[in-house]
Amino acid sequence: MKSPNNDNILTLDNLSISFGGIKAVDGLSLKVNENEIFSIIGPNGAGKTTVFNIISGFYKPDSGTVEFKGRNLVNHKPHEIARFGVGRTFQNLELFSRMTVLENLLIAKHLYVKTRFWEELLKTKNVKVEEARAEDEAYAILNYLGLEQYAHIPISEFPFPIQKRIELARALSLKPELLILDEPAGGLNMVETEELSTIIQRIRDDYNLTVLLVEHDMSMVMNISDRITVLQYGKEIADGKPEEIQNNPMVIEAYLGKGAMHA
Amino acid sequence: MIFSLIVDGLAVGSVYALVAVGLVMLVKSTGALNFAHGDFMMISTFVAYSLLVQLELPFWVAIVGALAFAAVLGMVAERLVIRKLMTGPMSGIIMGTLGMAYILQGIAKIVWTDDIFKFPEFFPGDFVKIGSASISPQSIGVIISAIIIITCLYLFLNLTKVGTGLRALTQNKTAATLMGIKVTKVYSLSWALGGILAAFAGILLAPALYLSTGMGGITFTGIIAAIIGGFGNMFGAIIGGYLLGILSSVIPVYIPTELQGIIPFVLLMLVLFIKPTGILGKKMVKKV
Repeated sequence: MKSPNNDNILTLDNLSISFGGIKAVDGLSLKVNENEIFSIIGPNGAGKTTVFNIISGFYKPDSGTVEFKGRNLVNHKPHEIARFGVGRTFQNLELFSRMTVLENLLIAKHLYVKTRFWEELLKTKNVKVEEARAEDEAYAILNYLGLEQYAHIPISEFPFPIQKRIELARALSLKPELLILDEPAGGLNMVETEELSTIIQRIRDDYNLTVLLVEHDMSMVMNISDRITVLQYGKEIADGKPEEIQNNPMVIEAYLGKGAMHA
Repeated sequence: MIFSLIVDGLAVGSVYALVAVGLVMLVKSTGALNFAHGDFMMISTFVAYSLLVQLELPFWVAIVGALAFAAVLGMVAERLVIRKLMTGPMSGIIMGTLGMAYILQGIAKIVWTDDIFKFPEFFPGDFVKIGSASISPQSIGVIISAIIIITCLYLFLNLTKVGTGLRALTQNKTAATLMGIKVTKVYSLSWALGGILAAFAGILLAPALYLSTGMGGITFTGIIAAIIGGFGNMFGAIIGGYLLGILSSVIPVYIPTELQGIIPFVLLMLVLFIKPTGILGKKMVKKV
């Protein structure tokens, strides 16, 4: 339950994890508000993806908590966290490459389609109704992202940028409240990246969700983020609104470099 | 005569196909090549035999009992052996499943002795005359049963949510997890299914052959069928199974008995010489 004076959807508290003596994330605390686009930036190896992997349950932190809608996610398995309403995409894509686009989106249906397996084998009326509903929902997402014409084509046939968009569509099929995007603009050209920026903002509004973003494309991050946290060596060195981050001398020195002032 | 040999070959091939499909499904879902698969088959068939002949239970009770036993056996094996070894190197899984094979053989020898047993025929009746050939009803029954079983497996994997989960997991474990699929549950389910397929194979094979604790050697025939068909492809495994069945039924007529045992291996080498990835196998593309 949400208390009225607290609209954090995600709270990381004093999160730490080490790999072989190296602190990948070191005492990280942050609060993400409902419905905002929150970005984590930092140089390569700063621990950004590690934070994502902790949130989605692939890593267990050495200490600290991850609170999502008032529930501690630490000690929950990735599949449970997905069911709680956390969807994500990956830097290097994790799709079912031999399935079609539509099939990829329909995998999540087992979470909300309530049918028994003998009904499914017999294709009862109930099953047909539920499956038609799941398909309608999947098509709605595909339409929304302009992918409907690809519905019946296997994933492996598409170039990388389209696969990235498909992965985004599939993350939406989970009906997440928190959408975690790991370098969604990686491998995209400038036009595609601008398009993606618009899409992410639209998704946030239309699907009424919160976006947590890791991205190297600084113009995109500065454009669409409500707030930003900067990591270096697993530690937070700054946080604030995009303009604050852009003008923070520590950030400029540690990461952005002089050129970023003009970004 | 060649026609009746082919039908017999199809019957044996049906069994090979069931074994090969089970093996491939386990490889795809849990990455484990199950060297105990044939011994799952052997011990489940002995359970069926005991229920049917020793306890004199009705035919369908014996089958359901043996299938249930096989499903539980598969789940126990997955939980106790495979799940632990899966995270380690492949050699661990190989030795682990080989170990299970020996354990199951040992248990079977204690419970049922080393003797051979005659398993009752499920499909009795007179030979069917088609032209000059005569076909045993058992062979026809086995072929039809196998087709029904494989169809059911196909429908299960493609129409049900659990089946879809299993297919998803075989393609991408991380993505499956991300979609809320409980991976351990799917592992367990796939091993239960693997056990059931093995038990079906044994029940169909036993009447044509004598029942003995040594029949688990069929694992290797199943692996060869799977490789011939294109390892990792379930449909290929079925083709490989039938091909192997037909050829090992027809060829012995033309060669000395002593050479019968090498037929699968020679066929394997021939196929791989012509197409190294097997009949339906795709070229391995390294992901960069």
